[in-house]
Amino acid sequence: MFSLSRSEWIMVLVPLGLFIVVLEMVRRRRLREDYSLLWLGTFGVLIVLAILRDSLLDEVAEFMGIFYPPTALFVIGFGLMLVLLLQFSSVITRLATQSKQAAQHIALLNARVRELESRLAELDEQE
Amino acid sequence: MMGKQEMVSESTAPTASTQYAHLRTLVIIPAYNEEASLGRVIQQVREAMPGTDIIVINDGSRDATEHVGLKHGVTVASLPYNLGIGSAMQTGFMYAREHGYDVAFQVDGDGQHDPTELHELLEELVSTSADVVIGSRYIEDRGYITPAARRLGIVILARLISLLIGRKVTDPTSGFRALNRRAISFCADDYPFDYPEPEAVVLMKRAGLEIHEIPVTMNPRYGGQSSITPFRSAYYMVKVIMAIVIGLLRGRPRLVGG
Repeated sequence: MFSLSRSEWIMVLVPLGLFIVVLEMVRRRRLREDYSLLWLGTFGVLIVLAILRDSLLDEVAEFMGIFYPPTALFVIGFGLMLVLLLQFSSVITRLATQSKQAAQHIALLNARVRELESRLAELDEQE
Repeated sequence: MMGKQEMVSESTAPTASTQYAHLRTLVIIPAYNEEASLGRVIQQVREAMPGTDIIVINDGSRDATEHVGLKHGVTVASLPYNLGIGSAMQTGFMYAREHGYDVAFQVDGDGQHDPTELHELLEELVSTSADVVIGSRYIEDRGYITPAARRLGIVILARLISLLIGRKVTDPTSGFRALNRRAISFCADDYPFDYPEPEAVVLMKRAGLEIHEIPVTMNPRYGGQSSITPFRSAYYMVKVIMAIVIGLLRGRPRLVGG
């Protein structure tokens, strides 16, 4: 079963290495668990398909109408990548909204501080 | 209760519009790098409406906009970085709601709007059932010259918006506006972040707010740089139309309180 060609080894080892990198980043708190799930899923799918090159991948490729099975691996990887990118846009949108709200509150608090300072100065003058 | 600019200006207030003196009004001036024109705009607003409070929303300017505002004794809320005029205006509406103003005006910091016409906006807002009054360049021909391409863009937007909201709008990109409490509260909660004016018209109308237009005169800019370039104009049209159409697919915006 493990008489793999060089390209087959690459297709297994690269996603496997990245899978471990993601786990390690989560362990060191460099990546949040919730954002890591899509990555782990993506690499997991690629690893499984690459290992089961002669059984599962062939069936999947045939189902997708793809003549050359390794191409299916790329197509699936590309599709999962698009999902990841979409997730980034969605996260960025949420962060942008939050940072907008934070900036607005800072501006309003700034104005209020200045207001209070000038009233305090008026009070001091009266004394 | 609201601070120094009110006390300073009201002690010597002439009776330009004592009729509405009981109303607490706030002029919101969004300003991004407008040091050249801001001082003049503030002065003109003061002369036109001596009793009003003024807040400058300094949208992350890199010039002396904040300093100019403070020097003229108005409230300045400085955003820590540039958010775009929509979010700047929303900050102004948040301030207006927080401090319980009856009426908020939007006057752009570049000097294109004529503050003496604030009274006409106010008159229309108070004497009719309008929740929002927009000053339009295109109801009467008052000599404002718009480049043909931009005019075409505005006409397309105006037609589209008129069609969508079932009421004629001639100048949906105008940022010269007056809003009552209901409209202020709505805009404080929900306001588009960039190129907000046309989208806001649709949002407000769908929230059940009544929008009127009155004819106004607009000037060319006093100073600074217009933010409009050909590429941005194209982006503007696409973004605004997309935002409006997608907005229609969302639920009806809710008017909280009132």
